Amino acid sequence: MENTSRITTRRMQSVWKKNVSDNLQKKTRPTEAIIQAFLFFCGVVSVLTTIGIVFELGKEAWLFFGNPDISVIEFLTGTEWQPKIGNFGVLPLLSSTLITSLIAMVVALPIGIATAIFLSEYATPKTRTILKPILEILAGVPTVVYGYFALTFMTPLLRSLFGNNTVDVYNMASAGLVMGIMILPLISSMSEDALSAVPRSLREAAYALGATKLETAVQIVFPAALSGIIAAFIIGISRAVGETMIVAVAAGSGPNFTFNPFEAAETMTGYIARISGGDLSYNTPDYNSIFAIGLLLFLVTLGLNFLSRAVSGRFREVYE
Amino acid sequence: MRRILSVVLFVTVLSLVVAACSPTATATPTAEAAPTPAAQQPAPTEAVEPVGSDPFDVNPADFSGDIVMAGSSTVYPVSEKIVELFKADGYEGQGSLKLDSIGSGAGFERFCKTGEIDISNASRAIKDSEVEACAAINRTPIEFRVGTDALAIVVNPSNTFATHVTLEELAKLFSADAQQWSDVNPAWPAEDIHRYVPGTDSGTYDFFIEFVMAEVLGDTGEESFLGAANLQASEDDNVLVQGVEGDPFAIGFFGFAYYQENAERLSILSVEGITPDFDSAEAGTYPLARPLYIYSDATIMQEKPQVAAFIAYYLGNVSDIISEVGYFPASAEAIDAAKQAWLEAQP
Repeated sequence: MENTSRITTRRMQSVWKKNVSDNLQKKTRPTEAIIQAFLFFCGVVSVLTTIGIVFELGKEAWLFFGNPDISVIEFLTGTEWQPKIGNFGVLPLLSSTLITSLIAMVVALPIGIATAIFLSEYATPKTRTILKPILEILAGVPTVVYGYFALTFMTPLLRSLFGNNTVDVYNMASAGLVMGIMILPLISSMSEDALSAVPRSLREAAYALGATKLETAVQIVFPAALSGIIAAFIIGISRAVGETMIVAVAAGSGPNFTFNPFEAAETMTGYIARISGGDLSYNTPDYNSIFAIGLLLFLVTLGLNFLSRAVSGRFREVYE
Repeated sequence: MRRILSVVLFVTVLSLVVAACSPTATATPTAEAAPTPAAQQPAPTEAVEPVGSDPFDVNPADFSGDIVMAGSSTVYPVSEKIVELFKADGYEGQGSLKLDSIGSGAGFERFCKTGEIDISNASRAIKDSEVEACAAINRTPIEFRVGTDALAIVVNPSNTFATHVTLEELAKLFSADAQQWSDVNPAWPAEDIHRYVPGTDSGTYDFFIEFVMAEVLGDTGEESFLGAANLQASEDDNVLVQGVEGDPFAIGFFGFAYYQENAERLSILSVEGITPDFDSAEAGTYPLARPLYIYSDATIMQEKPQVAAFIAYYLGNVSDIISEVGYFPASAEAIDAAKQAWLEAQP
């Protein structure tokens, strides 16, 4: 008896569900479809843009490498970059890109993570609501302003510390340091998100075992949020590698294969910005070279993004 | 959330890369010069005389329509000044007068290959290859001499050891053979030479290669120049000024106007014993004196009367204002020849 009634109820439920879902489907209003189509269109636009970019970069870079005087191996291993006289070695540009990015990360990573730990573990909600927006203002400063900040503040500072003969007027250290300041809010904000996402129960367990606040933050919460922090770090590097205005203004405008951060050296982005300023003939190897460099830059950032995904997947810790 | 954030950032990075690649994304200084204060307004063309008596006494108020010009950063300040006056004198097409500072070579590129501009500014004479390119799009460049520049060789004010150079020393200073100042002249200190030079597509670069590097070192001059260590190249002459100003062992060169503008912050060298000034540039005794030009085409001048009028206005006024900008007037004969060329281009 009971069984029968249960079955009947189930049947009734399923009939009712079916009706409801039929009704819902039938009642789709035309505006709904338009909105859906619009949202889909927006998604497709960004995908198509990406494909277009890759296609255009590849096409122009193909023109560059199609030139019989230029070999990919020479491009990747040469230490002289002077397209006008046929020297196409990208290493001087690559090395200065890496050096400025490295300096930027040395500044941004420790300060950024420390800020994130403070904001998520120590700061009272009130402090946080004041501090966080202020920090985010740094992210809103236009990069050209950072560029002149580097040139007119950081460079003179470095020169007064280390001497005018050691530090060039245009140098990688100044650009790198200021770039670090620029990336700082990115690192701290992403790391703070990662730290805050660690469940409260972990902290409480640590306190229950007698851990201090610092021990909890550094030994429990930080490792638990490591995947997010590594992702922040790698995205910070991508940002630094792609940064243009700061290095174009402050790091110098001549390719220079050096590892001395106090010397002037042009980065990949700086070179692209200078050459595309309209001062070169179209369809010359020099002009096409900027697309080859652009492609290389794109591959570097793309690689870093893949790495970021892989690493954050590897270190991901899931808590319920 | 993190994943969304990272995707957003990825797209941002992408767009940054693209922005850096796109030629239009980089700002070129454009002379959207605001109308000048009344004090700077000149009187000569206030249409006192009846129009038509002198074709070079143009009343800009009679003309409208766009005028597009681009080219040498050296000629830029002169053209900028003329544009300013042209507008102040009542040119109707306010704002449709475009002037870009992109280098002589790029100016000819836009004039002869893409045909985007009406007037090309140049700090060197047009090359045969550029004339051919122009012919391919049915343009015949007409040359108008507008003034004279004396290429300024500058060093840091704290540099007291080098006050004059010979052409040979100058070529050596900018060659790959010399690493330190003492490599050029044993009396100079054993410090690295820091070179601040115009970019490879500027007329100033071409001029220096042709009249200094190739003159002394022959065909290898350009290679040696570009292969030199501590070389900073920029189309923006202010970048060079800043570099030399802040660097005790720097040397650089650019148009005289940029020296004039920053004379207290830089020291200028004499070349072969001759200091660049009005007399030595005019007489041609300063070895690095060079002519400044603007170029246009008869068909453009006939189709766009405002372009012809602008050039006439340019030729009529340039000698009065050019020393204000920091260059030297062309000789009266050169200006007369330019005016003659203008008259011949009329229908």
